[in-house]
Amino acid sequence: MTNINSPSPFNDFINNLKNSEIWFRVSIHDIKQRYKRSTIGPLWVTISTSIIVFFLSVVYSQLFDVPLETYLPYIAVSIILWNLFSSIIIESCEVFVGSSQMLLQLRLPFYFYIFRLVSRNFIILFHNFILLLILIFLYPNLININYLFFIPLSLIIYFLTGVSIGMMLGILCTRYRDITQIVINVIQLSFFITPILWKRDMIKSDNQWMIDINIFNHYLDIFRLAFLYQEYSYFSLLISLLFCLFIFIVSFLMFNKFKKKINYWL
Amino acid sequence: MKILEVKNLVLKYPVYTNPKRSLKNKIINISFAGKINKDENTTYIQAIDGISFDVNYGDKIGIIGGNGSGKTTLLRSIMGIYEPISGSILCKEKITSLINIELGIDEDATGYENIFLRGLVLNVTKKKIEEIIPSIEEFSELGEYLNFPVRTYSSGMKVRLAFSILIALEPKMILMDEWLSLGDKSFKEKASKKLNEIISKASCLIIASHDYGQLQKICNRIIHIEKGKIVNEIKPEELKI
Repeated sequence: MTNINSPSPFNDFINNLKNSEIWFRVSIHDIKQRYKRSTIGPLWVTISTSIIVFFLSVVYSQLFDVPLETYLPYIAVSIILWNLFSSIIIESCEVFVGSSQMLLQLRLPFYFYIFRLVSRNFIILFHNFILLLILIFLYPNLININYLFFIPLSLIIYFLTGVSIGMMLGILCTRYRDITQIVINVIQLSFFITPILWKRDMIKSDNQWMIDINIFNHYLDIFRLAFLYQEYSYFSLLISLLFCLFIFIVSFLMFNKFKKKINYWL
Repeated sequence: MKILEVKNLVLKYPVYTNPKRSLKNKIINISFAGKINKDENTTYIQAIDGISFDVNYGDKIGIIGGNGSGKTTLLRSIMGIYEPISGSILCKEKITSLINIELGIDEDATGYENIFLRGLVLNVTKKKIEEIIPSIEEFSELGEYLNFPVRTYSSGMKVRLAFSILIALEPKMILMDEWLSLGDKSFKEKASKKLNEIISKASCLIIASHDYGQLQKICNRIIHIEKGKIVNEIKPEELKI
């Protein structure tokens, strides 16, 4: 006889990893569904990102008076990463509420829903990488071979952080439904106060602390700096690693504390 | 031999009215020391209040009781969805819920895609799904329609698809909330026959229902619950239709 109660948080996580095929294939299905009736399908992701990147960089390079050939790849990398961050964070708020029917009828690990969300957004990210490949083709100097290793490392950090954020916001927003609105606001604001459209060297060195305390900046830099032929910031890497570890532990403790209650809150 | 054991199950639902859900109100409550919202403690509904029973192999149990007596909640806690406040539920077999058979049917996906999707979330291997596809094709009688998106199906056809998938998996331990309503007359008869066949082969069935006639036909034990407690256990013959 086995106890029917759902497994411990640790086992929930492990079971989900063991059954990776489930969340991976369901997330592929999600993407297919989204672009089902369009002819070129998920390539629309790449096209719409490319259009945004192109026009933004043309206009803003004029506005800031910077050369287009350095500014365009910068915007491209930044926007692609920012899309990943913002959509994971905003979708996290609905991760349990939006799947309440499934949660109340099926017994899947709670982490299934989170991994499905993050994996779905990574599939979108990989579609956007097509744009990066085109840019590398156009500007062969764009990528720094010495830093190539940091790209997969950053992706792992992003994935783990996404899972942690998903769990944290998922729990919080299921209990307090108005947190979703706060999160959307924070994300909108962050877009403007983070170096995405503008570059670090555009602001006075006295005021650069504003960038240094912005965690989004470090998360962007660990990937971005490998790309733009600049000095790599090991400091950003360290901060991101520590933050990733910290938030994973916090989210796991939260899950441990509230696991029993999530289904009641739906 | 016991297959399921429910022991002193207690389950409470917290009730969150809209103000309770809001973070703003929580903060206001802190700053005004609870003056605004007089009702400080969360209200709970005692959905299940100390239920114990054993289920043996081959048992077909009917659960009866008025609206809000805790039937569905009991089924959901046996499924492991709601974790009890206290008490335990021990089980030997994989539980299959026929509570909402259309769950997880994706309107935009084709019939075949839905079969695989359903198999995925029920954690059935791809090989096993491929094995059962012919029987789903045969039983659902959907033919060419299985290549079409489910959105083009009539509601009866959706039920056919969902039911055929679940039945093809030959569930061993079945939970049901009311007897299924299954499409048109011809399919209904066929499906009822099939369902009875599956149930007779299953190691256990727990069904919550108001249809005493149906319960008398399929069950060997009837548990009557009211207000989250077991009133008594009776034989199906004692039910007054």
